[in-house]
Amino acid sequence: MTIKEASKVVTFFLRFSATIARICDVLSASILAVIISINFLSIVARYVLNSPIGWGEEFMRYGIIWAVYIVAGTTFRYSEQMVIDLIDLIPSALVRKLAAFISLVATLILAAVVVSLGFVFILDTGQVSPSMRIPMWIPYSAVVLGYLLIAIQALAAFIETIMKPTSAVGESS
Amino acid sequence: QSETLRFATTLPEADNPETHAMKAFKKYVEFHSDGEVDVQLLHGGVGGDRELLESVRSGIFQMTATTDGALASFYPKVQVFSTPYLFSSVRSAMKFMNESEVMDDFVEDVSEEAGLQIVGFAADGFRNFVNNKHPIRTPEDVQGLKLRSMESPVMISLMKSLGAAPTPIPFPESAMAIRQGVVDGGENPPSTVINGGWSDVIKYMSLDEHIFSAVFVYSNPRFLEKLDDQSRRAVLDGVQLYESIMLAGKGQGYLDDTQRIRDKGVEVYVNTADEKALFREKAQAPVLKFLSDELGADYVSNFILAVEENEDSLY
Amino acid sequence: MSPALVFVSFFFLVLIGAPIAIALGLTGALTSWFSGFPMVLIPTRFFSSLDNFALLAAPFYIFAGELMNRGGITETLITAAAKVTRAIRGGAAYANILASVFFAGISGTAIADTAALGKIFINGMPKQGYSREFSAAVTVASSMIGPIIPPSVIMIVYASIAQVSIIKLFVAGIVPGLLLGFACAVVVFITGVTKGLPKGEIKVVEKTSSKLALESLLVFSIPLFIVFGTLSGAFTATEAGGVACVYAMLLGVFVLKTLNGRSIFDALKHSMRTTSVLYLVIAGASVLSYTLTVTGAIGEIRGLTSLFANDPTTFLFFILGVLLIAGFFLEPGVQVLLLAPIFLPISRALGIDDMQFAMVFLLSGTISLITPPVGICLFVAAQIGQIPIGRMFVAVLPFLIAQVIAIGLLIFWPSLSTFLPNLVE
Ligand code: NA
Ligand code: NA
Repeated sequence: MTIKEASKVVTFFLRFSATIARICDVLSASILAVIISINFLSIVARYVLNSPIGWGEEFMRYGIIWAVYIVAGTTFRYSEQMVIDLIDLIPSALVRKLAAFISLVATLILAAVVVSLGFVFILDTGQVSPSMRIPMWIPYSAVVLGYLLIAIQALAAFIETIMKPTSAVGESS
Repeated sequence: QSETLRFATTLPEADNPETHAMKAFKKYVEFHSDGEVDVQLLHGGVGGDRELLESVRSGIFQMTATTDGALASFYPKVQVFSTPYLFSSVRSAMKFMNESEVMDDFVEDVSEEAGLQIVGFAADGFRNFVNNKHPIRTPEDVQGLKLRSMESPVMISLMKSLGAAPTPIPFPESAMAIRQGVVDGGENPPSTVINGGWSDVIKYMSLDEHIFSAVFVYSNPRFLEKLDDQSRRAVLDGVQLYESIMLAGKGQGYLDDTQRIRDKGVEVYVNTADEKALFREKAQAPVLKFLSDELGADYVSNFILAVEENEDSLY
Repeated sequence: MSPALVFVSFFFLVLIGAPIAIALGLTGALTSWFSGFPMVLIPTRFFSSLDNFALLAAPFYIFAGELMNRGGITETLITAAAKVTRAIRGGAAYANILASVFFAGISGTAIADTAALGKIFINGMPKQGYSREFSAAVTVASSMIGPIIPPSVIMIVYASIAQVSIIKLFVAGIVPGLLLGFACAVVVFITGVTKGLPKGEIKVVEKTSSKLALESLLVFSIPLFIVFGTLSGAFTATEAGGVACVYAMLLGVFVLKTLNGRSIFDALKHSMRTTSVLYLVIAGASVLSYTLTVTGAIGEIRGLTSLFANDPTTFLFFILGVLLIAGFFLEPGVQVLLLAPIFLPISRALGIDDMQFAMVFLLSGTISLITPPVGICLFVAAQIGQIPIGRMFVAVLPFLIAQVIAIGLLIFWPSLSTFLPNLVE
């Protein structure tokens, strides 16, 4: 693969993942909107119809977990994760990049553990949810998908960081 | 080299039957396995009932004990235990669980279907209605009450059959919800009524004993298989000691806790056998219909028949 | 794996700037790997630790706060606060504190408070003759009130761990929250007497008094609505969060006319991302806390602690000390997840009221947001004001001391934390 082809692949990956990040953002916000509506409806149902929604609580709990993991990758892409940015005080760009690389590797290792073992786990959870009685792989998949998205977006964010023009790679070479 | 047996529960380490029984189990197993099995007790902080069963299933823990309801996620047929007025006494329930053929099949089926080996039975006591509107003597008194319920469909169907409005509220919020009037009351065994702070916020408790709450002791099947003979015996016999302490502790606790609730100024009403029969008449048929639809009519009727034979043999 | 190695791997990852959620999760994974646990507990814990009814409330309150912010309610609050304090020496500084008390009633986190009020005060106060450092210091110090006066995200996390009622915690926070505000006011007063502070009202928006009064009334009705709605039995504390969102939307769209469909959807997106960031940290911390429990490490730490557990007062001061030190590095939510399960059983065994312990724990944990080297509110304020962290901290120090003294008062007088919640129960 020539450098030109490689850079095309990278550009495509960055654009593609940016689109996914935006879609996930919208999906996650929509889930929250649905949950707020159900919360409101279940109060109304309790008073007006005097018959509460039995599955409402479980639905909202699982819904929030889905919303959290769907948008997790996006928060990595937009650099919104909670970090301690003491590393920025170090003047050497090389050291900062090395730190960013180690951080990426740590993220990818954890994602690999979660996605691979989580995937095997959801193939046979052997259980249904207590209230709605849906198979438990449905709520559990949120974690697997979430860490897959985290891996993709963390990688994309890292590539964007090292491609930044301000970074003077040559300074220490 | 010794095997580690992690026995986990949701309850904190305290002066309760679970803690005493688990500690005795540990002593017994470590002594009789000659140190081959190292028992580690985990008193809370490692997940709720559903998660504990999941952890035993996947081998993170080797043993746990939960009430029957928790198994419903893994083995729906256990819901037949939630039939109102299934057993008339703890004695009858224990005899049935330990000796009937139906239960042998049940244990085997749970092992095959759910990957959980049931190794022992105990009792958590009977569940009773509490509320702060009026005493509950007959089924009519439950009519129209807003009651906090667990999120299990069969419990919801039971409450509806009595004309109550079941409202699922998570346990930690439940005392406050009763106090503030989000709901009028709920139902639980006396120990939970005290531990959950309900006894401070209710006015009436009825010993209507509508559901017997069983405790199943589980082990991971692969763990049992890989133990040598002496160690496996030590574990299985240790469960027997666990059961005895649980039964004694829970039996005594049911009476003591009810007295403590009474001492807090709650009006405790002991329902008569005739009143209980009225409850049974009104609630049992709709719940059995629900269970038959969910679990299969044959399975449910066989189970109920076996329970009745057991009752007849006792009384 | 030895606790020392856990410690080292966690701090290494945090210090090189890895996301805290990843540092916690990976350290937990390493611990279970070296202890020979089935690693499947990592993905299952990442799910089960968030499968908690109490945690449903946090996105609700984050969204409600976000709506207020976008709906121009922050400006209304500050203008109202400034009107109250305009005649006094150091008026803008007191307005800053008072605005934080008001803002606390609608916001669930200290960071939201620092960010929202900081934009106006840290840049506005210097124009009236306050030093930049002092302006920023009053802002961050008083933003500690945010998560103590209800609603509060950290209390929701605490309730999920300690299995206590959210509404009880909320009510318990009112007095300690006001106490924190009073502690800040005392420092402003002393500064005014010793160094002198300017007078004058900070101008944010021009509004007629009647319009301002009406808007303030509507805004202040929200926290009252949450507390009284819950106490009267209309809904549970979690449901109240969702109702507050609907109320804030109606208020913003129809009364204040500052919100539209687009800004509401933006607020939804932003709230869910904020929630996601927080919940990933919670899930990561829960894996670590879980492995520490299962490997018996927590039992050992608890054993060591029993040296200090001879009477409630000593024990609570010990908690204050531990959290102040832990707070140099750990975010309050992580402190709740890792440390509350260790100390709560001891507290209960000593007969300390759950609400008193919660307040001492939560206040001690929260003020770690303004202690270096890792104090997120300190960072946010320093960034808004373009102030070096070192000078920023020197300016905050008197406020920090005053707040520690306030926590001391909570330790000596349990009723400060327990009186109100006992009243409603
Ligand atoms: Na607040
Ligand atoms: Na402030």
